[in-house]
Amino acid sequence: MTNTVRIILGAVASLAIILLPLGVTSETVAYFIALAAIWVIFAVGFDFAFGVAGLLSFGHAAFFGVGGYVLGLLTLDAGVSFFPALLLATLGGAMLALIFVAISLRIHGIFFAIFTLMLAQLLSLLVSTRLRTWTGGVDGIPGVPRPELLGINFWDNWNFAALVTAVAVVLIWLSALLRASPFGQVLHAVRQNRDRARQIGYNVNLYSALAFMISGAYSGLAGGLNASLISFISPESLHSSVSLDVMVSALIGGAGTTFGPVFGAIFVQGLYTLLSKDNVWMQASFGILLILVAIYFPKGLWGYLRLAVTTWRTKP
Amino acid sequence: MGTALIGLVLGMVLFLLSSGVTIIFGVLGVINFAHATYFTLGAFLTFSTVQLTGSYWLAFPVAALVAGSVGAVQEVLTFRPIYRHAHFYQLIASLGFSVFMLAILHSIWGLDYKNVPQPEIFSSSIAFAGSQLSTFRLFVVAVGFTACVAILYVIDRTRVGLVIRAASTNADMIACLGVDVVRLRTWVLAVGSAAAAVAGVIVAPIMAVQLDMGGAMLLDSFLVAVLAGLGSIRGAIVVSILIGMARAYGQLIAPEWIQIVIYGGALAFLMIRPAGLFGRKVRTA
Repeated sequence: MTNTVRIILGAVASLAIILLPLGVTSETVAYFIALAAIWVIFAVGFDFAFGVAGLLSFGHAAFFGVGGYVLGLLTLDAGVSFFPALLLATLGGAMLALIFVAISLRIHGIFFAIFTLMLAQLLSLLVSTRLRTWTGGVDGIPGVPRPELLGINFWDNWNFAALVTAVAVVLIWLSALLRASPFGQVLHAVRQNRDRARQIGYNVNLYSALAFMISGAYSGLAGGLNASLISFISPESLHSSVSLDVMVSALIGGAGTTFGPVFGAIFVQGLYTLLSKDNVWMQASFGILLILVAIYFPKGLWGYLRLAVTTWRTKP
Repeated sequence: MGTALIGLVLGMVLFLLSSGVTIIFGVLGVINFAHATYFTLGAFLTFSTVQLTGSYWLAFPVAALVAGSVGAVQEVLTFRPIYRHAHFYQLIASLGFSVFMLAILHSIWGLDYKNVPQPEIFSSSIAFAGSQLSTFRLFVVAVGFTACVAILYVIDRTRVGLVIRAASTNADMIACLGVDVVRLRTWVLAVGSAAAAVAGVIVAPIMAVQLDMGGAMLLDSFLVAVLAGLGSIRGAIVVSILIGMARAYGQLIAPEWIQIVIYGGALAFLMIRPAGLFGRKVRTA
């Protein structure tokens, strides 16, 4: 298969996926597609930090939540229209990620994870208590709007789902390009051996910071779209369980692969929608899945499948 | 005085948890996210033991034994296969175990608050320097203090402590000298988990016993361990009492700010000294 054929196939598949929500009959399904696409963006963003640059974060809820708050506050209080606000939500996620990295610049590995967790908790506390006058405290902000564009009604869940999937598809392409680019290659080197990458002459801190900012931008965008989907934003979206969900999605799907987080996010959101989110046995099986992934499938289900396919193909 | 006592109680509990975090990190090289679930487990077991048998004292051996065995199982099943993997995967495995354990605790004990009565002999209080001190809190401080002395003694003065310190420095080397490091790790996680459960037992009568109680303690005990410098037990004593006191007095002076001040202050301190208060810089490459 030549590269041109691949790109054409990819483009056709992308278009089909974007148009998919317009083809389904049930509104519940359309809503689910929008939700899953948002989490796909979030998981792909998370994986750009962990799977590519090797920065494990337990605080990604912070970027997700801040994206939602930026969008909500700008559209409702400042009268900014939707798309500029969404752009600023994305930037807000990136800026917060920069702050996180700047604070934990001297910390690596597992301590980075604990640091991000602490920072995210701190932010969640601030939003629900000290910044109450802006953020509405634990009650949150209701009525976050949906966009208006070319006279299309985005309060219609089908249309909104198509918009979100379009954004998700574009961002998956972007992530695939970034991963394959020279920039992405450097990040792979930083992940595999920080000290050697520095010895070769790369500014490791700069590359880590950039990767984390891209990850934060994806997360902020996803958070903004999520607030718009459920037209509500509250400290719930800053809760550490959000960080856990996105991590589980990326890891189960396959950290460090382009499509792993995509399938992981769809899988996890599918389970949450089919069963109740508070189902004890699902939480228990998520725990077991995490352990199994850590021990047996460090490349996730997608990585494992790909490996199986390659070995099957090359079998004499 | 009453506030200082509350601070001391909190400090002692934090120390029981964070010393476990620190020693486990030293020997196993793992930050155990499930550590605080053993604390919750201990408190829940206290509730059930008191309900079934009416005896508070029986809760100590029950919680220690149950948590110790679960800890041993956790080490064998989730950590043993992956010591050679990147640290991330151990962290993720322990997070998975903690999610799993919380789900189990949820299914057994549910979400509501449990009330554990204080044992009869501690129902009185002592008047001291113009304030009433609850004898139960004094008992908690006594237990915590005994634990401090015992842990320091074992680590510094006994053969077991020698092996633990050696294993923290160079596990491969001490394995060559004939110490069964594989078994040592299981024991360390079992004993550390038992200690966390005992911390749960002693606070059960004075804290709201429910599923979330471990979550806040987990972050605080990590904070203590990191602030003190991972591996430093003396540092953990100092920082635990410091944070306990800050919590107790902060709750009195500025309840909305105290959490933010503690987290913010700790992060600011760690930016300047990432190795912690008593930590030493270790070579990375």
